[in-house]
Amino acid sequence: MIADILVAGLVFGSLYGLVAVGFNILHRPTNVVNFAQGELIMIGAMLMAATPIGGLPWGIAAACVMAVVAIVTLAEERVAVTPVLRRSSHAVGWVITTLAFSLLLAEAAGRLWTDQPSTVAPPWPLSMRVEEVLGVRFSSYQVAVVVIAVAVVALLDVLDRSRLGTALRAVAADRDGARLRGIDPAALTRRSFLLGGALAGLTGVLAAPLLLASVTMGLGLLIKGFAALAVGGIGDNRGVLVAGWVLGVIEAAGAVFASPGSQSVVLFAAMLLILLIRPNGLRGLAVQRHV
Amino acid sequence: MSTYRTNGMSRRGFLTGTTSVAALGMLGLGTAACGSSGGGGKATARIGWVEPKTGRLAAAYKPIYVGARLALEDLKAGGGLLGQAVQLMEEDDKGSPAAQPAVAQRLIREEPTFVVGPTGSSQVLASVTALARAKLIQSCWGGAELLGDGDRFPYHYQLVYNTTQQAEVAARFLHEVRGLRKIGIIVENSEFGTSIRDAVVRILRDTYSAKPVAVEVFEVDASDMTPFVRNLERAGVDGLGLFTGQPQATILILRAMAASDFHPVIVSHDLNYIEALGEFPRALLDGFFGTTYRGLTYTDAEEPSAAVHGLVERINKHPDTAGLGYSAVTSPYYDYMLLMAKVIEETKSLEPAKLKAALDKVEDYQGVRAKVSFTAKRHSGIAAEDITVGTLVSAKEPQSLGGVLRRRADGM
Repeated sequence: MIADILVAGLVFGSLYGLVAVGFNILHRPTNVVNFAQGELIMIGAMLMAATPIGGLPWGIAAACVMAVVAIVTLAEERVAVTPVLRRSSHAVGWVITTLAFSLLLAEAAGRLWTDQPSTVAPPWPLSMRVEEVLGVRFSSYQVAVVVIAVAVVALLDVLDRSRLGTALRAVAADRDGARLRGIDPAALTRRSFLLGGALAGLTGVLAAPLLLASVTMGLGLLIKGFAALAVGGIGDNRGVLVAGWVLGVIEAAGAVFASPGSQSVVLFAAMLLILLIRPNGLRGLAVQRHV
Repeated sequence: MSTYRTNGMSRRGFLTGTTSVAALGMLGLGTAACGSSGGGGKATARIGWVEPKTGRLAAAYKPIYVGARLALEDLKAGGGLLGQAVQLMEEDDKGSPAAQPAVAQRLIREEPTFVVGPTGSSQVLASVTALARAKLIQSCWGGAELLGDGDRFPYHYQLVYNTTQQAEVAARFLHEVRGLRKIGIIVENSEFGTSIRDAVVRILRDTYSAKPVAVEVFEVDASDMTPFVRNLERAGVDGLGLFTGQPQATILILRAMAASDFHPVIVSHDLNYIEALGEFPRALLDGFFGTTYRGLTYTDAEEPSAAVHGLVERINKHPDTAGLGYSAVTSPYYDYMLLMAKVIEETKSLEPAKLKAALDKVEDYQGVRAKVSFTAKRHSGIAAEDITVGTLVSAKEPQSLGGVLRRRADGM
């Protein structure tokens, strides 16, 4: 029973962690939390499940999906984020504009597809067939999802230490100050949105075999990804991945041990408790503030 | 991993953001008005029509209104209502409970003779509460038992079986017909789920002196059904009531069952055969049943009526059906529209008060799905004997007419 909870927590927690990492990538150069992230992931999954892209070899299909979602995210940056930040780098109009973009995506998906879920097969040689090893039941695809999530965070760590990562941190700290130092925040923002969009596409591709692709899948992932972001700490990719796992385990444990229908209460109570104990995120990396 | 500095969000910023979200919500409600028709002349009979035209559920709910559109074609071809042209007052509710008060306000201004929709238990509860004050006759697709309470909602008429009726049939099938004694329940955490869970527990207790060996309630957005299914398996469940309006949840539950080779007899709420079911072993699907209307089922010795055959043929040809013929044919709106036309012709009136008086006396009206009767107090109209259990896999049989009808389960 405990092994089942841990497996489910790690696998689905990895998805929540990837959603939160997507938030981080877009937040870093803009201080914007992209409320369209859930729908971008949904678009990624639906492209894989309900368009001819899904018929291509998995690697090519995944790359195509990532490219398409990256372009859509760049369009979001052009119409919903940059115009707001141009007025003031501290403006919060992005709350409404990214939500509006999210509604547009949901609207488009609702016109194109019904709410019937579609299955997407994992790429060969991976499989959803459950194997039992030492009493632990899991599929090869579930293992792959956890490994990919860890690899994504490791790659972003490398990126973070590069010149580009330093520039991103400078923009995050002070957009106007970075511009005075010769950094182009607009270009960095575009790159971040492309990268964040590609990651949203990848998350959709990874989620589709596990959750089934459906036009309704975005909102749930958005909320749980946001929870992982809050618990893990904004800007801390390792922290949000660990937070995703913690939330995934709590969610799975709630399904087993909590009284019927109270899983959400358990999840959010645990989240509140963690935030009370670790207000700066699980790893306690304080977000500093200029005075 | 490095920390980065941020200016954070000020309290003013937070308040501005919150206000923006509220404004967006209002904008959404306003946008919902865009699909509405304007008022017409007095010489037309107006029908209010609540359907999601935009939003996530727009495409999914289209098939549900196909029957009503076919009935409307028939009404128009027959010269309208009392010789008056029929005008639809279409309102877009986005499939959202929050949009219902605004939609109701517009409908009240348009003064329709009767209202079709909305669809979905939560949407329906919000809508009937708002429309009841204006005494507008309405029928929706919502199974909650209280929606058939004539005292509480005197102008709402329920032409679908309610959760108690559904629970009675499901419990009878599992306990009496299949002789199963370890009955479990798995439902979504919603008004519908809570209502049918309570009904099944009550019926098992009162009718069979039994109680479920396991009751599982999952969140509508649950990612993984494995823990719930393992709980059912551990409890030794051999018969399962699976009730959710989320097709995704059904597939994830079946997937978790397939993974552990756990194959109880299932009675479900939904008998739509969707492509995603193709991944499951036949043994699991052979044990999957669902509550449905007797008129839409067949056996080796019994065929559905010619009226059903005719309707199915038209549904299959309609572009909005989109492969979801089962949703289209089980929708209450075809029977509702034709019943309203009959009542209007009999009373020779379009006045809601007169129509309500006549509707409260409807007895054994033969709809295509089932017989319908109302009294002033009982607005849950479907005859209990016309609710049955069908098999899922029969959607692949030629007698199902393209997956629209279902074979009646043995013993029902």
